[in-house]
Amino acid sequence: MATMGIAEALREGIREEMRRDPTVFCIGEDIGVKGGWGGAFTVTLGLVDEFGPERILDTPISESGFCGIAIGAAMTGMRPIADVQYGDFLFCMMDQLANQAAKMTYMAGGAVKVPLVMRAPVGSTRRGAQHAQTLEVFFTHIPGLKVVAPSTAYDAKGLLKAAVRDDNPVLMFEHKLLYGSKGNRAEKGAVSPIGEVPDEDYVVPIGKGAIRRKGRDVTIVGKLLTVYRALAAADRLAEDGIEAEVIDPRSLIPLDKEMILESVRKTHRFVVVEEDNRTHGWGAEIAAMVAEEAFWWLDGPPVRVSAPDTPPPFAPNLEELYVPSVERVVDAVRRLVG
Amino acid sequence: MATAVVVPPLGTNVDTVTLVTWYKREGEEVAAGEPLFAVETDKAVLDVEAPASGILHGVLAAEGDEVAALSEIAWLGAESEASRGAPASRPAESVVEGHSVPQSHQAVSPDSARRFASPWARTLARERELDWTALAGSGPMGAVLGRDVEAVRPSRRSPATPLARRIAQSSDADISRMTGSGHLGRITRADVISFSRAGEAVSSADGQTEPVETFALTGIRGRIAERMYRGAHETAPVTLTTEVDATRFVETRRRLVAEGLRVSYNDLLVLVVSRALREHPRMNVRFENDHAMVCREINIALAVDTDRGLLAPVVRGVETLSLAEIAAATASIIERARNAQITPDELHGSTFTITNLGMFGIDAFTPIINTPECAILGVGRIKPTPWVVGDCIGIRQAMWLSLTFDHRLVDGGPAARFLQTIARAIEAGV
Repeated sequence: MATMGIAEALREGIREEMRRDPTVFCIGEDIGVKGGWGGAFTVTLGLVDEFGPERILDTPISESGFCGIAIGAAMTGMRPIADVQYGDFLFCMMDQLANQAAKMTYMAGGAVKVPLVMRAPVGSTRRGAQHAQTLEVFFTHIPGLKVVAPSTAYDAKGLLKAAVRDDNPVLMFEHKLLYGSKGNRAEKGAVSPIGEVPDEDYVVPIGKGAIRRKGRDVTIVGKLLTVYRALAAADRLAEDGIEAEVIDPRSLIPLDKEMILESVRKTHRFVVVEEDNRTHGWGAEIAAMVAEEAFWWLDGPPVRVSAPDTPPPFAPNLEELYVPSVERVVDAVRRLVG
Repeated sequence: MATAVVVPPLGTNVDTVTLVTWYKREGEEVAAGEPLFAVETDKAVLDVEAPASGILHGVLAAEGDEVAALSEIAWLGAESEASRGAPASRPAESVVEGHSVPQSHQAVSPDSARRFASPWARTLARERELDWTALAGSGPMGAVLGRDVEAVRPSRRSPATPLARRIAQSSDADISRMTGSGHLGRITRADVISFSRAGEAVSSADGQTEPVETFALTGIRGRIAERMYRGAHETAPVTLTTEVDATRFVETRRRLVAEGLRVSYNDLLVLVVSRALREHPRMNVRFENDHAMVCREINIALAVDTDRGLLAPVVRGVETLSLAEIAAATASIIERARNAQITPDELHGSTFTITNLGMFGIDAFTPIINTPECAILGVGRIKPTPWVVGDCIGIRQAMWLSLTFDHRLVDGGPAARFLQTIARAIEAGV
């Protein structure tokens, strides 16, 4: 067991998979440049020394281009791990992901597989409208893609390995405040979920959630950073005798519905906390699922705590208001529990 | 419009009350707020006021009757309504005075007949055959919530956790007499234990035979109960058995003892099992937080029968120990387990367990997995047995092995191969 943050856990996961399987390689922008950071958030730092520039493949600044290369490589038997510097740039490769990667297996009647991993940092971190969006929901809406969102170092490594071994395209969203990167890539206000990561080979199965805290009064579902907001809110609510159960789905597609529904059937109350824009958001889908499938167990309406329908603001004071705070979660639960 | 006369709920634990007196007779006129009838609870006699003005009709309960809380026992209406079969509406005001309709409800909805109830409240009301429209709601706009239904009619089903029910059953404790401290008043394991401790619970079910001794599932017994329950119910246990020729195994021990090394069969088994685990690492597992952790270190627990109950002290890092070191370690922990000198640390962290009932003349059995491990080996007695060797029958020292494994974590094939590795080692004399 070693103790590490998410960036390091991902790096170790990539290293182990590349050692295990020669068809695994990394492709992206500035991921192996000498004297560089190892990608925008140090995840690939130093890997080029072990695997060389042939397997840690730096590309020009053309998201659509290198995404197409990665998909093509995946279709012909390689297992690429591609990454964008900021998740926001996924929009540049939208046709590649939504029309090609996601649909190829369907269109070919299963004859073609696209074992692509696309990693993308997300989350509001004082970078404004084009470098801080929360994008998961755009991809959870596209059949054919799997979407994972690890919030701990253990899950990051385990899900990365599961994603590499999966024959479907998997998008992995990573929150900038959770990387635990050091040095000049350390983020202000980071949560740093440093945890124990086994040295042995393990995977975290895609599609399996985790109960981060047990409780009987209300079910709170969060992902990435909002898992930690929910946990902090649960601590505060416990002082008032309200025991919140906090669920981290870890994998958004496929979703561990039964874990959420089972919890709601026990607590009778449901709150989802997301950094996404509210309207047509991820939380809306989870809330609708709960309303449809656990309606008769609900003692109040499903509640969303979301970001407002604006781009992430650049101004720090506005960003504070934008991302759901612990106070907002506490407040929503208090109103619901009554 | 007719108004129902309903027996008010008089506290959370009162299901029925005795109707003592009617102050008005059938057909008599009564004004809202006038005392209409009196009921007696186990604590007091209380007057119940008329919920509306009108003529008293349809009296269903006589003086002296037991009436259920919230049941309708008559209605008030105009003279012409004397013949109607049932009241048309049962507004909440008739039930609990004062706090039936919160202000906010009236402010929001001028139609005071419109009532709200959460889906969960409706579910509970349906389950408990209760009309939620007659309840006071504590939610927004006076909505009836699950807790409001719970308050007037706690579940009639035994509201106990499965573990509590099981413990209560095994100690013949009457769960219906307990009060629960869990969620929604559920009776938990702790409630059963404290009830049993209070000494009023444990007796035979029909009360005809007095118990010679009663004991609560506390302390070590409680932990054993919990662990055994978990092993039996939270795993997918499968037991494989095989009979092995232990003649050489017996000889090996005899030889070692003759050479001055005091080893027991258990010590040899620990050695055999640890070698087999090294060959089959997926059997050396701790299952925690939905993950099977394949462990490098081999920590073998030995089931030890002590005066205080079953203990399973752990020999750590067996893969690094020589047979002499294993023998010294097991002798030490077994002795300390029997003398109650074992520390909690020495009872934790095992990755596999061996339980040996051979000394009691047991052949094969179905051991319960010592969670969070993946498997447990049950060892039977060694006894001379007719054995087919080639075309002849000889007398060999035979021994049964029973391996229970968690089929969630490992399949029958690999588990069988693991058992085969152990069997072959024993047949080869370690």
